[in-house]
Amino acid sequence: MIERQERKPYWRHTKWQMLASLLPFLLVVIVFPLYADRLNSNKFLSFPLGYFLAGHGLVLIAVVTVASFVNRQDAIDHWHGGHENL
Amino acid sequence: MPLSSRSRAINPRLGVYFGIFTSAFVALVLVMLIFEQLGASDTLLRGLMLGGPLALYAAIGLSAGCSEPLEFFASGRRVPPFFNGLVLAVSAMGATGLVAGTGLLFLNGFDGWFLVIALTGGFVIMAILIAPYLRKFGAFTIPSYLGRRLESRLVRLAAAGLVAIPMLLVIAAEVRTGIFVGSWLTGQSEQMVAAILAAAIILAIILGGMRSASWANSSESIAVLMALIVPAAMVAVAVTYLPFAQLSHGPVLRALGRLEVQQGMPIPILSPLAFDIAGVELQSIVQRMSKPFGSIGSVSFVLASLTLMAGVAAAPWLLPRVGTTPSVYDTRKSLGWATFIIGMILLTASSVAVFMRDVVMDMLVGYSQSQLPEWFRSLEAAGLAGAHGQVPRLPISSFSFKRDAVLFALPIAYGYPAVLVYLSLAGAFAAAVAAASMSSLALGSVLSEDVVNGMQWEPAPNRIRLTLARVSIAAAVVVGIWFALIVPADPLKLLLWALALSASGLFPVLFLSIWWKRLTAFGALAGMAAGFGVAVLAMIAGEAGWSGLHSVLAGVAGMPAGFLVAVGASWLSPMPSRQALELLHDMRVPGGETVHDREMRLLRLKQRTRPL
Repeated sequence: MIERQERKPYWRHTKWQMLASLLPFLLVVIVFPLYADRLNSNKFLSFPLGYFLAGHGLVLIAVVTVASFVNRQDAIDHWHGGHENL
Repeated sequence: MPLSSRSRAINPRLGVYFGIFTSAFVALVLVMLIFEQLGASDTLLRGLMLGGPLALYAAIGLSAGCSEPLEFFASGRRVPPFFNGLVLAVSAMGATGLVAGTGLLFLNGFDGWFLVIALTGGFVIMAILIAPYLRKFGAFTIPSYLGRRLESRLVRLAAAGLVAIPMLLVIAAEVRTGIFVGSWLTGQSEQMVAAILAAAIILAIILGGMRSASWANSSESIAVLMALIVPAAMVAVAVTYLPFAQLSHGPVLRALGRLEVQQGMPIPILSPLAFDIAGVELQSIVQRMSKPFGSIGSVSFVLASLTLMAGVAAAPWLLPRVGTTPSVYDTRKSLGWATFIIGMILLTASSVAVFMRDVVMDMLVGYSQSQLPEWFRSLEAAGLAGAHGQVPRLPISSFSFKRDAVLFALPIAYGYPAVLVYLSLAGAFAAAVAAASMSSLALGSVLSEDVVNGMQWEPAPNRIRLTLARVSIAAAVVVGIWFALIVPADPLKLLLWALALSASGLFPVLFLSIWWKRLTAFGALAGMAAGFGVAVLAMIAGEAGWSGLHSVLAGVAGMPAGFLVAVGASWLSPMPSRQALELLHDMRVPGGETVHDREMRLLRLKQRTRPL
């Protein structure tokens, strides 16, 4: 259980983690599709690169984003003394 | 061993149970393949493929009955992250996302990706912004959460009224897709299939509510995964020699690109705000597969991805599932699984779309009407595909397909045994049952918890409470199916409208209720009303052609309106009470007792010690 005086630093930490996870993801969601056409002349795994990045790439980035968020947020919980016991 | 509702031990044999289910399902399909080779009647095969799995789901749902509210509304908070993520992914996508999504990727090519980005990214947003905190709060429905968090019964009632609309739209969308798939599979009339669907949904969730839904939907989701991946992998092996359809269809796509250039397919120049996706009717193939922005403008594409993403993150029919994991950490993890699984499913769907385009290029384009293969003739006779023009070498633009038939046309085109086609159809039907049961469960809980019992915080006694919830769930299913039968709208549009509505009406308030201390009940009320109102107006204007904004993009107007009004109205009203702030601080930190469970425990203590 996180102590009362730990709540404020915990929340500050969490807010930065939220921004650090969310902003790059949103940026990528906005940018990748817009450049897809230009990237399509390149290839990756013999996919047109733009198509690959906007589809497979974004799915991969989404999974990596959540995975890193889960990992970091768990570390933050532990750092501030929140050990959840079942 | 009797398990009290307080113990949150995860059943260690879940893997074994679902292993048994999976082998039973595989065995059913194999036995039917043998039956087909032995010459069993087609009606028997179709009936078994629909009825066999449905009986299994119903048996699983009925065997998970319970009589405790915590079990009924939150599955006892002991669903492991993987299963929770699996169910979340499949009920977010549903049959509509799967069937119409594949068709969209086939007909609109690259532009169909907006749906994939929205559904996958929605879980990312949900995981980071909303889900862990809702899990710590632990309310059974979204209106209960908002009402309790903002200490206002009015907010609770208003939210109940507003969330009912998108949930009803989702049920209608799933039922419409379910009817399309089910009548293809069984050859029965619409009403008959709707009755089967209603029975399947009610049997699967009526006895155990969320607990039944957890396990019945898990089995349905496993069936969906197999029904999608097996035919796709078989085609992938035939075409690319590798069973991983998702990653190996690159060469096919490049070859397609060259053929499209040879065919001289047009490259339309659109305004960035254009938005025109395939509807339910026959649609000719006019767009290149990997060329972006042929039917959706670039700005519309990004805006649609972002607003629908917010809609998934705030979806009131998915969020109650968040409360079923054992801890906040497990909730985050379960959303990771959900992101992964829905991503895999939709990437498989996109590979199905590419393989189907390859089939069209390979077997249809360049032949004359009289040379078209038998399977295409049968699809044409069923009204699912068409070819027009009498030239000796038909170009690609003379072929048209029904969006919702594309997923099932692939195994037909490859001449696979009929049982594999029925497997795909049964999988899509299972997805319809899963998604429709998830949202009718959420709608039924809202009806019984927040509308009928909405004026008091103390819940009714257990027996009455659960009976009421069961009646409401059945009513929600019946109303949803009736709604689907009288409104013959495009299911994909219904789903996207539901997401746009939840993005504009709910996302701003849910987000602010966690991340902004100053949000007041008045602000939330005004924000929800403004978001919903503006989104509905934008939808009507878009449908009537009064504005350049397509109705699916209503969230573009609704979301900012919801945010601005919620913030503005909160500033105008007095500070929230000390108690509300204490509640917020408590729900922001993980660990400790779930807020809702603690309140219920204290309430029980108070009732026990109350003088008679």
